[in-house]
Amino acid sequence: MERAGIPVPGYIKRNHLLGVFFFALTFLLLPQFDQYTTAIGFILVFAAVGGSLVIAFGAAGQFTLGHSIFLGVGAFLSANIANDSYGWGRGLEVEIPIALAVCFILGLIVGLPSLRVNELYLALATFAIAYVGQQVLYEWKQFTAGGSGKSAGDLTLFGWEIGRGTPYIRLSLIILLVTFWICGNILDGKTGRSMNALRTSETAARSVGINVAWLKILAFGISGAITGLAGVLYIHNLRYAGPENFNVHLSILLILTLIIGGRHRLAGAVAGAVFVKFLPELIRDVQEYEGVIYGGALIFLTLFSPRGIIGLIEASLRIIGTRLAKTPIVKVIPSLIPSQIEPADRSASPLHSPPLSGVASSEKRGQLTVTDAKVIFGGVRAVDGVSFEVEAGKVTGVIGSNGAGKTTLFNAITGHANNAEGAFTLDGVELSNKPIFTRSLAGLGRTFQNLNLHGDIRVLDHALIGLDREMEYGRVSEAFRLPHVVRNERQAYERSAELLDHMQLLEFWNEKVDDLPYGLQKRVDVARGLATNPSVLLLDEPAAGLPTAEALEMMEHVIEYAAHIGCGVIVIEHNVELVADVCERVIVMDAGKILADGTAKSVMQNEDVIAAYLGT
Amino acid sequence: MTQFIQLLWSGILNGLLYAMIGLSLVLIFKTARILNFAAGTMAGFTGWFAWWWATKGGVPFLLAILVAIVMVAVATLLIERLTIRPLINENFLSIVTITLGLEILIANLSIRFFGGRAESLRIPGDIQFKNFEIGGVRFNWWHIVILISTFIILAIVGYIVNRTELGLAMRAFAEDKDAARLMGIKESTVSQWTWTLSVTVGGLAGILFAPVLFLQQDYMNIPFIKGFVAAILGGFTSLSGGVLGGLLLGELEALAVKYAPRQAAAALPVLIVFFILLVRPRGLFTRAKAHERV
Repeated sequence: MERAGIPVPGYIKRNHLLGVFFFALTFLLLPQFDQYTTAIGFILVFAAVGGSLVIAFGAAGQFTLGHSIFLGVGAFLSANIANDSYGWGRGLEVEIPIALAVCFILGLIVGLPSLRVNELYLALATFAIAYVGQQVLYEWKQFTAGGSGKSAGDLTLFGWEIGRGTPYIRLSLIILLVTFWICGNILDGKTGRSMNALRTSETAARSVGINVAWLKILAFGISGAITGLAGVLYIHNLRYAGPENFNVHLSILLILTLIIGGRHRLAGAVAGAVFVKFLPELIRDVQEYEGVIYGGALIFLTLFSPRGIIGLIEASLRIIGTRLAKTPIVKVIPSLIPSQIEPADRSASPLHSPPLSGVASSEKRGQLTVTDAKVIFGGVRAVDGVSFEVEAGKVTGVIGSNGAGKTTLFNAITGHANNAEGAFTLDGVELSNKPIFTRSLAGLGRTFQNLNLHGDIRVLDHALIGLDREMEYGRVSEAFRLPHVVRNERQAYERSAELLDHMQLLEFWNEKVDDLPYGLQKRVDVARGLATNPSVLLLDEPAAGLPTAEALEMMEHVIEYAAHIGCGVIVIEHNVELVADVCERVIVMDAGKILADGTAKSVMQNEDVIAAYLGT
Repeated sequence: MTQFIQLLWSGILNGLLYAMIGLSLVLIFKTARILNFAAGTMAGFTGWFAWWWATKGGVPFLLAILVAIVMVAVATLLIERLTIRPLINENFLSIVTITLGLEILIANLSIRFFGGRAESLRIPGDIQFKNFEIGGVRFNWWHIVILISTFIILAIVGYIVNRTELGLAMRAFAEDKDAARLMGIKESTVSQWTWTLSVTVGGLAGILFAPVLFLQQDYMNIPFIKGFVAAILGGFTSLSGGVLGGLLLGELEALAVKYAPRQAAAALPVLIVFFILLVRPRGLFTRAKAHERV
């Protein structure tokens, strides 16, 4: 792993140090900016919400216009507790946990529409929720005192009184720092990876065992909870809140914070918050044109920097970095923090790499039984009563002309075909009618004809995503980056590196898959499938578009690895030469049915097969 | 009984407003798959603009309307060219952000140019104040003007979409963008004329309903939300669905105000949205497709 320069997962990252640096700077310089404390308080609130949205929106891709409701609920809960309305105690130590808990549950509920609808309609649904939420807040006089709003009493923490202004802002800073640390841990761990996977390709995410539905709701839950916490900060900053503050306009502002700042980085939350809350201050003199400047900046940023302010900064740094790398300066200044990457030398890796630890299995798995599989829609019988059984650990080929039903058969087995009938069992476990991710967790791995890769994500993460199912830590532990989390992450990184090395992808570990040439992309797809440690791996035209020699080499690597972990392989291919070379058994499909089934040699000499597919 | 008819009539009137905004939104969504968040603000701006020409510009009423519409259409062509077109293949989110930016920008410009106070649009003959009765039911002359104008506008839009080459291009685009481009239909042309048509329809709504809603800051904001709901009712991809949805919403609203508790009436649009999203995401007036997932 060190050979390729992959950074070892640990407790502290470079970003942590940067964050602490800015925190310390702000903490110390605060008294100089006494008159700005309220504005700074707002920036912190927005940054906190932004951080939560990096998880829900940046990672999980849920475009939500409804977050004002969490801010409101958190704020009023906080006010009521601070005024001792519930008799549970008064201080922040009571307000924060309750706001977190209540808003987490609320978030889970608010997240439900995301299961049924796509981007546009989710925006609408959350928009509607914000609207209704505000009405409810207005009407619920007990909670919010309707139009008159509530004011928060003095702020205490464990009995200590925290004064207005600088002391309060310092406390908020600390809270924000901890919040960002937790958000960062979530993003770095399996939860963050899974969310990014589902954002970029739901289909593929399901096929590696990610419970997409639950994860989407969880994204709302987590970000709702953190926004609720921000609500606590909000009301103590302003000392007052009324339902009219928590409107749709605020929701839009919250998501804009991230769109402007950069949605994939926590730093983006800060940049966006500063923009959203500070810009009005800066243009106070030209306040009449605030909207023009604001809207104009929004348009400008969207046109020229889809990754927001942070994207602009990173791009500039990259340009400066590559320029600098060409100058002698770099050789003089040693890098202080050892996390830079050097691409590995292009040395050819041996065809037979040393045995991989931890996954080897002499036990053969992958006995797949397909009974009377049917996929019929409209008048088309794509798969028309297919039955076969594959022995554990064997390599089977599936060939046939286009439209024969090969991929549809795969879809029926993995669950991607909605209207499939028939029975499927894997190593004795019944798969029929189970959701895609359950089948994947049962040991079914697959690749796709059209790749379904996770576009803006690194090659390494594609392997990690596959391994995530074996991570032995819970999400709460992940949030606090406990030692066993780090241990699991290290193992996962090492195993991923080994797998990538075996598939000759190690030197590209840090590339975004969209930037790779087609051949490499195909290998990443296969690597992802292998990473899930499947019992049987379904490969859908893995060699398509590759020259035979390259395809053959890749297939040999795959089969070697598969043999090593004891899993079976079923491969759809049009390259008959390849199939004959690697498959012990070949199934030929035609018009939805099995035409022939036997050894490669016998099948190729079968007259019907020659007539239907092979030709002379 | 007369009261009931009065109620239904007011429902139709509001329904027409929602129908026009809904139509404007569906036009853009159908062809470009974008949500135009600035639709309400642009409609409002047009209304204000017409007022400005009629009062400050000293132009006769009908001419003021014409000038305002034409200038807004030209401005839309410019806006589309500069801000929407560059992102034509970007994802939904980027363009929505642009429309949000436009909304903020235009809303601010509106206040700057037209002042923040409420004004009233003076119509020749002051017909917005003249009523007449049929069988005990009160009608307002301007409302009749709205009714007739809206029908004409809808008929024209229908004609454009269904009977002209441009309309055919738009519909082709809505069906399958890539196939349309392969057939030689210029994406830029479809985009700019769709936007112009959409904003013009919205603008006409803004002008027609200015006497009803009274010209004030953001007076088209709530109609925008209602128009949204209308479009949702119609399934967002059906033009006639959007119109019918608007009328339906108008009627439901009128009935709710009279017969339902106050909170329910206020939350009606949102309740409808929930209902549609949970029960029938493709809208009431769209036929089911085999492969479309909402």
